[in-house]
Amino acid sequence: MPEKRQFKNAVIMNNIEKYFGNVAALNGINFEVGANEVVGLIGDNGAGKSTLIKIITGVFPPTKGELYIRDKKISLKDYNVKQAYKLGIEAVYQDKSLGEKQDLWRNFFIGRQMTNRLGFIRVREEKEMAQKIMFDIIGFRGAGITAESKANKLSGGERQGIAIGRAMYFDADLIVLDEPTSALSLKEVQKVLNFVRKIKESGRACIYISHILSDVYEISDKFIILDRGKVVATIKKSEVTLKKLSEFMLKYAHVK
Amino acid sequence: MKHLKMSIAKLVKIEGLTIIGVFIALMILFIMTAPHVFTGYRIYMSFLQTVPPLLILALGLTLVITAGEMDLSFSAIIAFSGFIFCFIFRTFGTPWLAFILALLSGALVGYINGLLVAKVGVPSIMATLAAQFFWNGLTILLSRGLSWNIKEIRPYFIHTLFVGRIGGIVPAQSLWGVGVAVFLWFILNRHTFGEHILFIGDNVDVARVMGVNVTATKIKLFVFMGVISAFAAILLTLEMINFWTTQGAGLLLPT
Repeated sequence: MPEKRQFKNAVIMNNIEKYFGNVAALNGINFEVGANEVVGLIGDNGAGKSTLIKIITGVFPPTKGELYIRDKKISLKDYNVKQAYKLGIEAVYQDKSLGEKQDLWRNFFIGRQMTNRLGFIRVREEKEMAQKIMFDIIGFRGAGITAESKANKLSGGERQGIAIGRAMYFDADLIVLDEPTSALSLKEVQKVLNFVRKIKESGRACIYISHILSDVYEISDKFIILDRGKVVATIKKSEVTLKKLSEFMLKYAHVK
Repeated sequence: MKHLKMSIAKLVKIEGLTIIGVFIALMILFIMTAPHVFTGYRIYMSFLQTVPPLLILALGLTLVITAGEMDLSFSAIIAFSGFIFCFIFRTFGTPWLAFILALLSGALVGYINGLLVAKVGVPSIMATLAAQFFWNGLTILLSRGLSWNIKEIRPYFIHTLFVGRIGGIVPAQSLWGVGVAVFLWFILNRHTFGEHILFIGDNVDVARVMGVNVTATKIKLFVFMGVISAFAAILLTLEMINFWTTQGAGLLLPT
């Protein structure tokens, strides 16, 4: 049984704006993600998808607007990645999830190491825990990969597996996947999609970003379509077929 | 035969073994070409006396380079912090105040470097090159271009502690050099600060999205390098019991 979350919405964005210099990357963004909802975030390159999720994950603050996490208003001044961790938000990025030349155990705990009071890392504990995550959560067995392997020894799918296992281990309420399947083979894509189903089953929320509409359609409860920094549509899965969604998206391809 | 192959494979895996092999080969070459020099102990004592400041600088710089940055200002810190050390000691006669203020002066130079690189966004090679000219110039100005002798520091404990001769032979600075090496290994490989440096050097975007405060870490790193350089400056100045305005100039390239 999935445990019931104590809040209604994992994330609410209220009139969020983000400017880089004079360029508006996001403009008047309103959207919400339910406590146990899988939201497919779709839109063309440059629509603002990555900017939007980086605001949620605390990488940078919005220029204006209100952000609610687990129904509580966030003080944007103090919000950062570490705060987002504490609020149960985890992210898996397409190619920015692992330090390539670093050992896997370091990759699991970077940004929130297990340390003693002087800030020295408790290496043995981190290694043991990393090994345990790889065995129990990700299901890495054999294949000669251990917690002491370097990240660049792994295939694309295995890397995403590590990043996803990390998100699972830290028991997130909301897991953000930013184009997690772009570099993967078909078989590996299925693994990632299965993982998203697991997120849903375990009562968590998920924001899934992908170019591949069929994938997004398969796993999402709701679609939010971004175009040029604006939310142009929010559609429930029950209201649309994959074919209709594709036709709808073509409108925003801006092909002349 | 198979056994032998496996043990060779195991040996190769040991970290740093190749470089030790190169070292041994070089030593053999030295001893063969100049046997009377390299079989006596004096040459090694001389090395242990002069190499530690250089070693300490190189170790500090390793951390900076690991983070994908560069610091060219340490040669100016050698001069500037050395000057501060001599100036405070000659003015107030208190070696430990001189020691602390010299380290702080290194931290100050490093902090300004860090601000320029991490906050303003100046490429570190340019920022620290400019810093080198600035702090060297300032040192010449403050010292009026003179070299300052501090032979009065010889009887003080600080002199014995940092550059004394253990058992009358082994220069103490060599142990400090080894100590700094061990300390920095632990910082880089076992401390969160070091792990953040590793990830920043690997991929700064990964570090950022995983919750590493890149700006603060870089500033800390340059301060750290500044303090390490200042420590090297103190060792050098104590060993020479003398400060001269260009004392860092020869160290830039070898490091």
